[in-house]
Parts: sequence; C-alpha cells; structure tokens
Amino acid sequence: MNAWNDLVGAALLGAQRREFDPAALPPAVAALAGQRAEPADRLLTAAAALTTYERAGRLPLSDTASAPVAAADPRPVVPAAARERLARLLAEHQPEVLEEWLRAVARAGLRVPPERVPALADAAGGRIALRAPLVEAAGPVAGWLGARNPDWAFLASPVAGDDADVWQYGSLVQRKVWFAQALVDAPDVAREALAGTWGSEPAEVRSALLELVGEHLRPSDEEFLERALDDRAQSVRHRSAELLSGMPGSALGLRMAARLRPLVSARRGTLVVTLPDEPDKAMKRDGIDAQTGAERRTTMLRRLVASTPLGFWADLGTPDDLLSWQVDGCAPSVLHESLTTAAIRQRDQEWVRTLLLRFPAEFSTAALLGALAPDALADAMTTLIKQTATANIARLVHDLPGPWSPALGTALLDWISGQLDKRFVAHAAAVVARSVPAACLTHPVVSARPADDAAPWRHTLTETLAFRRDMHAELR
Amino acid sequence: MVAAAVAPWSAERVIGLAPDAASAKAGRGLATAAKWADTGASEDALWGHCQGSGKKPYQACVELAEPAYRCTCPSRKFPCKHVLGLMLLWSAGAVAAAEEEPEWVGSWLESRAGRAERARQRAESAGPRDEKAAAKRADERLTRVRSGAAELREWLTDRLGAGLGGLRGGDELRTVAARMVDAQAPGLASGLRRAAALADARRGAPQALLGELSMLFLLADSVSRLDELPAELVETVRTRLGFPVDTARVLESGERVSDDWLVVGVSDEENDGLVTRRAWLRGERSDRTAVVLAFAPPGRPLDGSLPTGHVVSAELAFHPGVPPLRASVVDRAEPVLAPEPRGVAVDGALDGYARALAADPWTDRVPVVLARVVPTRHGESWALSDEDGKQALPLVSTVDPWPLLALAATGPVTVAAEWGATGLHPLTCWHDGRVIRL
Repeated sequence: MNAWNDLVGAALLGAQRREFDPAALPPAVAALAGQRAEPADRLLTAAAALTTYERAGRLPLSDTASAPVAAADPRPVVPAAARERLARLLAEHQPEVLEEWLRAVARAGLRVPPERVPALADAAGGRIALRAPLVEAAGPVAGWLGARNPDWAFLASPVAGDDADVWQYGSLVQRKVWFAQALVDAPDVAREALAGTWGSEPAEVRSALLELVGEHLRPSDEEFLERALDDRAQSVRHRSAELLSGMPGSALGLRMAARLRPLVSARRGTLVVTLPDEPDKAMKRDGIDAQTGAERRTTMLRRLVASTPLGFWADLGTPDDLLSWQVDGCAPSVLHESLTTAAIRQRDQEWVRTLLLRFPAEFSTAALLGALAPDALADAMTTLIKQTATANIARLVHDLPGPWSPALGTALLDWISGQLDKRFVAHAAAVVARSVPAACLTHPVVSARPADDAAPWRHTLTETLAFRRDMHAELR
Repeated sequence: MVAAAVAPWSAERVIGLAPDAASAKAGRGLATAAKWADTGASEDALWGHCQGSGKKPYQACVELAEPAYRCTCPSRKFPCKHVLGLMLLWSAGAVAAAEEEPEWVGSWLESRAGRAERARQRAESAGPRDEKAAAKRADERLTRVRSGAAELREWLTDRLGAGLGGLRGGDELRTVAARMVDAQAPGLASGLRRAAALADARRGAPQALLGELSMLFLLADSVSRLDELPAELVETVRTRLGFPVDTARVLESGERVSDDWLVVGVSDEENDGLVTRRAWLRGERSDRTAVVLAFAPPGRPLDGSLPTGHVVSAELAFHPGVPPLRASVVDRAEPVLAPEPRGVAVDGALDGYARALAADPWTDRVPVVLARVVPTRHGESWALSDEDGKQALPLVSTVDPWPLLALAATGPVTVAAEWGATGLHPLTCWHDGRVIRL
C-alpha cells in the first residue's frame, strides 16, 4: 500500500521534515487527518485510520497447501476414564506401563485420542519400545503426523515387505529392518533376496544378516549355513557353526558326536574325559580350532561339548546322573559350562531344567531361563521357589524372559506376598508388579490393603498392580 | 434411599481447577481408592481422609456449588493435590453418595454460609457511607489519567515530529510507560510496552511500531474528547485505558441477559504475574457474545464454573461498552455438556472481526467458531482453511499446533478460537462427539 509506506517514511524521518501526500489516502481518511493542525497529529490520525482499515480488511490466506486427509479409523476412542489415565501416564514417567496400555488399547479394538498422539510421539522418540504399539493404537493419524513432523518420522516409516528397492539401495539400518520384517512376513522372499546378494556383501553385513537369519531358523537353512562354514570371515564361520550346532539332526552335530565319542566314557559314577589332540582340517572348518596357549586343548573340548547334540549323552546316563558324577580329566565346571551352552543352543528342555535346578543362579541363568518353554518356565520357578534361597529367586526375577505366562505370574505373586522386608525383595517386587500378565491381576494381593506401617515396597506393589488392573478394566 | 448426590464432574473439568501442571500431576497420583478412607459425597459437598506422609491423615473437603476447598495439609497450592485427588476419585465414580456430611464437614459448610451472610451484611451496611469517598477517588483518578493521556499525546506528537528513526531501542518508550503507570492508566502503559518490544526488534518493525503508536494516539486523544463522545464509547475508552470496573455497579445497573450460554472456549494468559482467564460465551437464543474474565496469581485457582463445551443457563450482567462484551455472572445453573455448536466459514469469521473493529478500533481479539475446517500448510507454519482449501487463517506461532492437527488429520472439524492480529489461537475442538480443550 503506497499511502501506508508514505506514512511510514514520514514517521521515520519526522513529520516536521517530511510531509506525506494526503492525495494518496482514501478521501475519508484524508478528511479526518485534515482536521488536525500539527503535521505529526495529521500523520498519527491518518496512520490510526489506515491501521484499522488494514486490520478490518484483512484477507484470508489463499495460497496454502492443503494436507491430504488421513484414512478414517473406525475404532472408537478409549473411554473417558482411560483418557484420564493416559494423561497420568504421560505426566508420570512410566514407560513400561505406557507400553502395556498402548498394547491393551489396540487389543481392545480401541484407539488413543488423536490430540494425545503428539505427546505420545514425543515419548516414543526417546523410547523405541513404544513406537510399534503407538503406531498400532493411534492408527492412520500416526502416519499422518510422522509424514509431517520430522521429529516423528519413525511413525511413518514404510512397512517393509513390498519394497525391494530398500533391500537394493537402502542404508544398512533400513536393509536390516526390511530383512527382519521379510523373514517374518515372507520367509521365502527373504532367503531369495539374501542368496542374491550374499556373495557381494561386506563381512560385517554378512555377519549382521546371519544374526537375523538365526532368529528365524528353518530346517532348510542347513545347506546355506553349511556353505557359510567356508566363509572368508571368521565371525561368519563361527556363527554358522553355532547355529548349526543348535539345529536338531544337523550334519555338523553328527560330526561333533563322532569326534567326542572316543574322548568320553563313564565308569561307576565317574565321567572320564580325554582332552582332544591337534585339530584336523575338518575340525577347524567346524569351528574347533583354538589359538595356542596353555588352555588350548581345554578350549577345544569346551567347543566340542557345546556343539554336540545332547542326545549323545543318553548312552552314558541321565542328565541328573551326569551332572552329579565326578569328572576325571578336566575340571567339572568345564564340562558343566559347556553342557549349559549346548542346552541353551539346542533349547533342550530336560537339560535346561536339570541345569537350572542343580545350579540356580550359577551359569548363564538368564539364558537358561530364556531357553525354557513358557509352561516349563513356570514349573521350574515353582520348584526353585521351594528349593533355593530367597536371594536367588529375587535375583532370577530380573532375568526372567517376557512376556510372563499367567502360571509364572501367579507363582511369583504368591512368592512375593509371603516375603519379609529385605532390600532385594523390594527390587524384585518392582519387577513383579510390572511384569505379571493382565490375567494375574485378580490375584488376592492386588486388592489386599497392606497395613499402614508395612514396608513401602508393599504399598508400591499393591498400588502398581491395582493401577494396572483398573487400567485394563476400563478398556473393556 | 440416599439422596442423589450431584452427578460427578468429568475428569477434564476437575483438572481444569488445578492451579498448575504439577498439582494436576500430583492430584492424579492420589486418585486411587487405596489412598483414601471415609470418603463421601452429599448434595453439597465431597469429603475424605487421605493418608499423607505424616501420621495423621489429611482431611480434605469440597463445597461443590462454588466450588470451595479445604484441606488440613500444609500446601499453599489451592486447591491442593489432596482435594484434586478426591475430586478425580469422585469423577471416576469411586466416592459413594451419603445422606449427611460428617460433623467436621458440616461445621465448615456452616461457617462458610455464615461468613457469606456476614459479608453480605457488611457490604449492605457499608454501602451508603462509602459512596462519597468512592466518588471522590474516582474523580481524582480521572484527573490523573487525563493529565497522563495529555502528556502521552504531546510526547507522541513531538516524537513523530522529530522522526521515529531517532528512537534507539525501546527504553525511551518504557520510560513513558512507567509515567503512565504513575498516572493510573495501565492501558496506555501496556500499549507502550508492546511498542517498546517492537522498537527493540529490528526487521519490519517501523510498520508495526507506527501502527501501535497511532492506535495509542487515538486512545490518548479520545481522553481529551471524553465529553464529546457517546456515553457507550466513553465506557469502551475507559475500559481500554484500564479503569477498574465497579462490579457492584454492573450487577446493579448493567444490561441483564438471561440465556443458555455455550462456553465456546476458555483461554488463560499470564501477564506480569497475573493469570487472566477469558471464558467466551455465546447465547443460544440471543446469539450474543460475552466474555467472563477471572484473575488469579500463578498457582492460585481460577474460576472453573464455566467449563469449555458446556451450556450454562445463566443471567449475565453486561459491562457497558460498544459492543457490550464483558459480562459478570449474576446467577447460573449447573453446566451441562453441549453438542457440537454450529460455526462459520473463514470469511464469516473475518466479517465478525471487521464488525468488532468498526465498533471498537482497539479490539485485539474476537472469538470465532469455525465450522468444517482442515489443516493446511502456509510456508513453514500451519493454518486452518475451509474444506475447499481456498481461504485460510494462520495459526499463531506461540501455540503447539500438533494436538489440533492430529484431531483434524482425518477430516474437517469444528474449532473455536480467538482471532486477532497475530493469528488464530485455537481453544477448543469438537471431534467425534467429544469436546477437547486445546
């Protein structure tokens, strides 16, 4: 607006020095200003009128870019009580419960209120475990926001499986995400893709991808793994040998058993062990090659035992027998640790259970617990609770793999409610309160009201459990 | 059968009473039945014992009509977290109805009733005596404001005569602002402080600075012509100058309008250690717009009797002005949650703003209810446009747009906002049968 710029110019220089041109003003404004004697008053009067003109005549924006509409979400928004609880979860820093809440929302066929998705996205920015459940519980709104706010791009990352370009040209992280998803959604496509590029991948990429294959192993992978034993990279060779030794009936396992047979024998409650000699080429290929050193032959024995199918030992005695016998030829712990490794790799339920009960909280307990099937895990813990010290159970609670089965949850709620006030019990109680599954929230301890002078952990336990019970109840 | 207690308020409404976010959070933490004993709700009140860190439990109670609160905890927050926790518990349906209040609640309610009665009597007996002194004080103040406005007018004339280029930053303007505070004209002082901020900024400032100063000139100049102006406009000028409102006078002689008032939006703004709450109302039958103001220092409770998205049957007394906008509540019923209101398109909102400016050129914001708007990009920032995308209003840069954008991502929504020179400040969004205070 020329008249306005003219006024601003005069205002900057001073109305005494520079007159503005009244002819450029709308006639009504010029008339109004003309009633004033002082040049500065004329200027201010005209400016006030023009400012009001401009504000009153403000035009809407017409050059904006409409955002595409997100797909409708037919699921209802969570009820009022759950919305209020969400506000509380966001205000208090409780990421584990928040994750559980998000999963429960999606499972109930509900969705989070859209206005809370931005705050949830901020929370998920620092907590990766929240991302997938958030995307699910928020629905199309999550993708819409992720596409528009770079801070939340993780909400919009394309779902892998249909986009082979990612595999061909993506970064290592993107390719790993794509491959991991493909192993679940389209296992054949994943293996085909891997075979196509395997020869040209650098060693660390081969290692990383092999690690992913290992999480979704199928019997038909044996051939691929067997070939990988000849890989240029040692890390790939070793990992392949480990994976093969965990596959039931693998050729590698049979070769190991044949090597071990002449080295062990049982004689009236004693296990007689001979350490292996110089490895031949075939042994080295299977991963039984050790560096020179005093412990060299012991290390080779460890690898041999750890890679031999546990069925091999059945001819000599039961797991319980073998673990209680004396050992001649090496330290018993060498044998027991190697058997533990074998039991974990092969997920042999009988061996895992026997090792756990015989050596609770001694060798790789967390991994042993992780190798048990859910039912067996609950049984094993129930037995351990009866047989071993409270401190051991309190420590094991931290290592139990999730999600807990209802039987396991009930066993641990029974256990914790009968404990005395000890610091390690308080820590375990916090884990129990968070980890028991929703099905356990009808347990009597949830609605029991601890005495006013009870230890703080008892109050916290009850509060957390009751909070979770109410949280699930209001989503039903 | 136990007398039906008042229907519990929504959790949103309870949280709206919290003096700050920390209290809201702490209150939520106490909203579990395990923390409470001996709770109850009668027609008038709500009470319970909360186990705190001390030996003795805290006694918390609420009188629902006002609402008023009492708690034996030492917190200076008001309402404290115990009261909020109790109210949230009640909101969740976990406080049982009771016929009669326990003695400690009953005596408090009685003392409150007694106090209100004594205050009323005092006001009645003191009324006539004060009249003369009050008139004298008002006269003295008007004289001071007149001389302050004359001084400002003269300063502006000199300043513009010499040129704004001579201003180095906003300090000179702040000095004048301080003199306007002394002259008891806070409206002129705050305008000068806004101008000072513009003078401190470098880019594009002369345009905005001239705009601000010219509107101040108009105001200061109007003071010298108060006798010539129409009576209603005089009231508007007095309001803009910052004359205090005599609420008693408004209640006595202000225009009364009874209607079902929809609370379209509530905004809180903190300035110089005072939080101002504006509740924007729209009369369902009269189609009148009103704003009810409430003030409190940060951390103290603000009036929560007009919850967003509710309809309140009430009689309002309007303060004089053109157009009469500010109102005081004379009498009101319980708020009832209202359905989604009708709204206007973008051009309708701008028309309303133009009409408001025509009546009162110092209008800084108007309430708008926009129907069926969608989010749209304007450069790096966001705007709301009509569904066809042709006309849009920019959102102010000072609010987080994302909660609103998330609501509008799946289709057009109805939004209540304040519209002013800096853009659209969204207050309320209706979505899927819910009302969301933004």
